[in-house]
Amino acid sequence: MRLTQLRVLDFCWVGAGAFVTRILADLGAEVIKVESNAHPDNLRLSGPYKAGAERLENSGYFASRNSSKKSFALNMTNVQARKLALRLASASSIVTNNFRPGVMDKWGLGYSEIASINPSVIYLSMPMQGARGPHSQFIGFGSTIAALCGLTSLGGFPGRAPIGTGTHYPDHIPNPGHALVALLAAIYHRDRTGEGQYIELAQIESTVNILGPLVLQCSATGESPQRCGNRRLDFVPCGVFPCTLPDTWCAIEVQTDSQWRGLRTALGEPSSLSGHDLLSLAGRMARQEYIEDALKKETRRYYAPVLADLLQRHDVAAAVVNTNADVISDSQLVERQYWQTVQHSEMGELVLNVPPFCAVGEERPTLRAPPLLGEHTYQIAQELLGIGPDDYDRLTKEGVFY
Amino acid sequence: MTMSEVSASALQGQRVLDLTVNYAAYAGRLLADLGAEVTRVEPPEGSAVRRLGPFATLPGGGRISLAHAFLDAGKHSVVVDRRESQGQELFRNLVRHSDVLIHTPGPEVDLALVEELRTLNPRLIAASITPYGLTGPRASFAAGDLTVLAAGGLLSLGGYQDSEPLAVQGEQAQVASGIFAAVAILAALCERQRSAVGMWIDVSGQECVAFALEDAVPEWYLSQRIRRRLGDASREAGTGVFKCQNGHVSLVAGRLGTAKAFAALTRWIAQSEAPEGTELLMPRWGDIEFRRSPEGIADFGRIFGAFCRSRTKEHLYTEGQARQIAIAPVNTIGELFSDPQLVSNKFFRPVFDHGIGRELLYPGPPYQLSRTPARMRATAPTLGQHNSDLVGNGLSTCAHALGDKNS
Repeated sequence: MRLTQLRVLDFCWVGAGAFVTRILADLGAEVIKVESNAHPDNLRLSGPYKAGAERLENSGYFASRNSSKKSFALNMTNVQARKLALRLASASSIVTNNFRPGVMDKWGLGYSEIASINPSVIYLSMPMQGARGPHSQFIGFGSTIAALCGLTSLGGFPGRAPIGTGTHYPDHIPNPGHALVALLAAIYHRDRTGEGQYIELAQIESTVNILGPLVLQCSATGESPQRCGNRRLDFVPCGVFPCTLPDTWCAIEVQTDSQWRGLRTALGEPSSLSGHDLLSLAGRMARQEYIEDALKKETRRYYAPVLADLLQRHDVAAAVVNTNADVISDSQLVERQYWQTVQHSEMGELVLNVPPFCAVGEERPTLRAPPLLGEHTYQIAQELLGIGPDDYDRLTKEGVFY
Repeated sequence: MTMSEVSASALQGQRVLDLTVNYAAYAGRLLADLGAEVTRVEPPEGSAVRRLGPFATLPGGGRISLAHAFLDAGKHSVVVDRRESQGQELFRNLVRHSDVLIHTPGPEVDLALVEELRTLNPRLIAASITPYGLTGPRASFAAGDLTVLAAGGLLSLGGYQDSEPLAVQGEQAQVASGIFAAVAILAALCERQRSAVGMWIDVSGQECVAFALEDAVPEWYLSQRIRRRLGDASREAGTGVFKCQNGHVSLVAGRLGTAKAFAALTRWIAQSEAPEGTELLMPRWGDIEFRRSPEGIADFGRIFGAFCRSRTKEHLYTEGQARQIAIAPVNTIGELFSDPQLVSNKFFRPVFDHGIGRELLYPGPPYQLSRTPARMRATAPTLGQHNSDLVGNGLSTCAHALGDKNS
C-alpha cells in the first residue's frame, strides 16, 4: 500500500497532527515538517530521552510520531520565511496544521491564500475545538480533550475518580485516524476530479464520535453511562485477573455459556465455580462479585501467559495484559513485523511501529528515521525553492533558516 | 474564508458490502457518511450488530440497539440467506457489482471465501478486521474488546495504582480497528485508480491498540522502564485529574512545553488567597525535577486540591483558559449536550427515531470537508429495508433469494 506523488507541507506538531502526517510519510508521501530552533516541536523537548544524545535530537517521544518525515528549519517569525513557506505550499499537494485558529492566517498561509495560487491543494486544519464558537481559542492536550469529551468519565470504578485510559488517547487514535479518513477521501476526490478542498477537524467533535452509541444511549434514556470498571452488561465474567507474579494480569471475557464451561474445564473444574446456577448468563449476572472473587483465587495459581494459552485452548477469550516491555517482544506483533528497528544518527537504534494495517501479500513499509531538526533544509531549499549555496548561507545568517 | 463550492460526495458511486458484526462496523459508517453506498448484507435473523448494547427500552416493550442506530446509520440493508444456494448466488452477484467488502471474524465469512470473491471480482477491495490480524501465531485466537486492549498494551496504562488494569467503555479496540480499516480502504481506493486491482487489507485490532501507547514504547527501549498505571495520581505537579466542587477537572500545566502555563497557574492560585497558595511561588517549583518528585506531586495536589474544592468545574475551565492554561472539565456524556462550544456549533443533530417515537441527538460528523461534506445520510435501516432495490437493480431476478423476510 503506497501513497505516491504526494507532497505534504506539514505544520503539525506535538500530538494528534504529527501522527496524521507520520502515517502519510510511512506510506510513501514526501512530508516536509516545518519547524525551527526558535520554536521547536514540544515533543523534541519531552522525554523519554536517549542518554548522551544531543538536546532536541534525543527524544523517543518525538521519534515515535515523526518517522519518515523530512525536516525543514524555517523560522516563521521571520517575514521572508513566510514567503518561502507560501512558495513551498504552492508546490505541495497537501498542507496540514494543528494550530489554534488564526495562526496560519496570520502568517499568510490560510486556505484561501494558498488555494488562490494552488487551487487543487488539500488543506487540513485540526483546531482543538473548531474555528468558530466561544471556545475556539481554548487550548488543550489529549488528556484534557478526553476529559471534555466524556471519555475520561467512562474509565474507572463507580465512586472513585474518573481516570479514562491513563493516556492522551484522543491524540493517538480518534483524531489522527479521523483526519486520515478525511484526507484520503479528499485525495480520492481530487484524483477523480482535480478539485482540492479545505478540511477542518475539530478535535472535540472527532473524539465525541468514538462514543457515538453511548451518546445515543444518554439521549434516549436521559442518563449518562456510569463508570463500571471492566464489567459489562452483556456477559459475565469480564475482567482482568491477577496471576502469580506481582502485577501480572490476564484479561478474560466469557461471552457465552459454552465459554463458561470451557473456563471451568480449563481450570480443572474448581468447586467454587461448579454451581449449577452459574451455567446460565442470568445466574452469573446474579453472582458477579462472587464469581470474580472465586476466579481471582484460581488465576493466581498461574503465570499469565500460561493461563491465557490454557484458556485459549478451551476457546475462551483471554490475553495477557501486555506492558510496554511485553508488546515489543510479543510473538504475534513480532511475527507480523509490527516493530521495525531504525537507525538514527544521534539516538542509535529506535524501535518504531508500522501503520496498524497492511495488504495481504505485501511487505510492511520500510520506515525511515525521524529527521534531525533542519536535516533537509538545504536539500529542500535547493530542489524546491531553487536557492543556491550563496543565498542559502545568506538566509541562514539572516535567521530565516534556523 | 471563502469556501469552495460543494461538489458531489467523495465516494459517490462506490458500493460497499458490510458484513461486520461488532463495533468495527464504524468503518462502513464512515464510508457511508462520505457518500459510498454501504449495504449491510444480513442473514434472515439480522446482523449481530442489531443485538449489541447499549439499548433503549421501547415504549411498547422490547428494546433497540443504539450501537446499531449509530454504527449502521446511512447504510442499506438487504437480507440474503446465504445458507440457501440462491442466496449464495445473489451474494456473489452483489460482490461482482461492488467495490469494497468489509468483514469481521465469524461464521459468515471465512478466508477461503474472501479469496474466492476476489477472484470473482479482481477490483474488489476486501478488508478483514480481526483481533490479531490474518497471520501470526495468534491469528485464530478468541477475543473480545477487553482482551484486544490487553494484548495491545493500552490496558496496562489504565487503572488505579491499587487496582487491576482498567479499560474505558465503548469497545474502543473495535472502534479503533474500524477507523483504521476506513483509512486503509481509502488508501486502497486511491491505489486502485492506478492499478485497477483491489487489494486485500488486513487490519489487526492488537496493532491498532498498540498504536496508542503514547511514550511507553520508547520508555522501554530507551530507559528499560515499565510504565505503570497511575490512575488519578499525577505524573508531575501541574498535571492530572483533580476533584472540584461539582466534579473533576483535567489539567496539563508544566509538561509538554507549557512552562508559561505553570507560571500562570501558580500566580492564579497565589492571588486567590487559597490556603498555602503563595507556597507555589517559591523557587523550588521552577525545578522540573522537584515537580516530578513525590513531595512536589503531593504538595501540589494538596494546594491545588484545596483551590479546586471551593470552585466549580465550569469556573475553573473558563478562568483557567482565560489564563492560557490547558484545563478542562471532566464531563459526563450528558454534560456534552450543554457544552457551550458544541451547542454553539450545533454539533448534536436531532434525528427522529421511529422505534422510540421521538428525536434522538446524534453527534455530527468528525470532520468538515468543504467540497465533499460528510454527513449522516439516513437513520440505520430496518432489516431488509432495501431488498426491493436489489430486484430493481437487476441484481436478483428471484425475490425469494432475498431471505425469509421477503419471500
